[in-house]
Amino acid sequence: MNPYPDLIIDEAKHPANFGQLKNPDLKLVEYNASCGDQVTIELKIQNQKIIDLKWRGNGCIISLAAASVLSQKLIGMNLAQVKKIKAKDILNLLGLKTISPGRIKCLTLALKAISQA
Amino acid sequence: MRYNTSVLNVQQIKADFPIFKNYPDLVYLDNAATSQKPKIVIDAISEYYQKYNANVHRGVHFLSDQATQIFTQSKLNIAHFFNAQSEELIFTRNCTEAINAVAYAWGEKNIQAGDIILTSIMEHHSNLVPWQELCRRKQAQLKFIKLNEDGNLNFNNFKFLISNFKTKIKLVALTHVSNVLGVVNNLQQIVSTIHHQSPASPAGRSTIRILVDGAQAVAHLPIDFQKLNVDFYAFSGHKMLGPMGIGGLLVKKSLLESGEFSPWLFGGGMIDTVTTQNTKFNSDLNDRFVAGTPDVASVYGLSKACEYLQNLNLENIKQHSQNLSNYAVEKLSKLKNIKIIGLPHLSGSQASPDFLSTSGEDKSCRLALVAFTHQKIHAHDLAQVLDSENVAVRSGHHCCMPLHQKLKIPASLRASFSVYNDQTDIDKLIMALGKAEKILL
Repeated sequence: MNPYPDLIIDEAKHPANFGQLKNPDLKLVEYNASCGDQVTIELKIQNQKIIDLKWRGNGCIISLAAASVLSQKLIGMNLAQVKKIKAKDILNLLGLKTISPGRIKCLTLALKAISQA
Repeated sequence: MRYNTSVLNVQQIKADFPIFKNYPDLVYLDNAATSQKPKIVIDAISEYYQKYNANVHRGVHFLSDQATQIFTQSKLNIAHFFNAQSEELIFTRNCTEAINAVAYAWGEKNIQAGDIILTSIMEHHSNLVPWQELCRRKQAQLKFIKLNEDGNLNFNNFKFLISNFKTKIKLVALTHVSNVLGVVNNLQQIVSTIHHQSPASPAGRSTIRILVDGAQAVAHLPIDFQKLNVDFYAFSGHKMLGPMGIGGLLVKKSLLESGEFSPWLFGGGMIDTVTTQNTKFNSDLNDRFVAGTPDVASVYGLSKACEYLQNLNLENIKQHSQNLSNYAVEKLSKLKNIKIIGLPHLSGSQASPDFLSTSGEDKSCRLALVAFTHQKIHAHDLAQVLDSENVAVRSGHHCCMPLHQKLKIPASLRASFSVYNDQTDIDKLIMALGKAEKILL
């Protein structure tokens, strides 16, 4: 059984919104000390809405794929709505029904970063 | 290179472990985290609760007598497994608790402000954090012995530190076998250096105490506590085919008799007499360090694990462990993207024969495990694909964050071996790594 559906590998290999912003309004960094995954998210915000987003990171496939799909969802979102995103939403975006408990931190790394906003 | 594969009859041994009947395709290479249990250990726990269960030392009825006999005899067996006296064995939940016990039962009284505790950067958190905390409480200093490129202790640095700080160093706390590097620290050489340099107390004994974290060693090496001549030796039962929840601390008897190591847990069982304000601790050293009801079932189970290992012969087990480590290193070295931790990166197909040769008992060698990284794939992703191929390994920092920080590695993969692993298991690991590359690269 392939533990990594093609969707996830594609997202990790060709991550959406990967890069840096010029003069971001907000820069959020999150790091998972237990495995070295890290992510930096830069935001442009207008009227409490995310109008542009870029992110950089290195880490495992799950953390990169999760950051990629999350970034696509976040653009155009109100900051108040951002707070309501849960781990299971990211699972859905990745087309996964479940994930092993040992990978939850990987899955939610970018989410943890954006929750600082 | 050919390795002696007939030292242990692995297929016969594997049949003794019920977990492999439940998971016949399982390639279990996470023994450094915990080992599987033979049927005699599992049965002993069940047998205890069905036939012998009562509280120990507390009654005069038949079952209490049975429980006490089981406990006493099991304790004796386990102590003898380590060539220690029964009084020298103090049960704890695990190795971590055993090391913490030294921090409290010995460290609180014997470490003062300005003292030094010497350790190494390869230590597991369990043999690091208790000393950080003790040093913080006591305003003492924690110093680290450097490592060589191959992961072995830098002996010149060690000798330098002992020689230059001998009046301040009160404890040297080191692992016997590293759970990441697989190196075996040469305890004979370490002990002899310390005793040679250490200022003598009025009684003529060395004043630098030596603690050894034996968590990874006890399942792979014969341990002779008398011959080792260290002051404290800590171990976990669950890493040596025994149950979880039981481990032990071996303490040199003289430290118990003098009170230099004194009780740190108080209550029923460890007392002689109790009044409202004062207590006299139990004069019997076997009982002084048993506060409350012990886990007799697990002690019985651990005793059976010792018996099982002894029947296989620890010298054979050591040879087997070295063979598997060497085979794993040889196979992994041939993979382009794999970098083994604790060895220089080998670009050719042959490692240096000197390096891979099994040396004598007291020389540094590698056994028990191999940790490695992949240049292009994250350790967690590799471990996930390996799991889908029924190969169980560990990924992460293996509770050795300072070592990983020093090596600038965020996470590594670790394959660790036991008596029921063979070269076929390593071949399956290699095949699974190949599959992971096909999927993920």
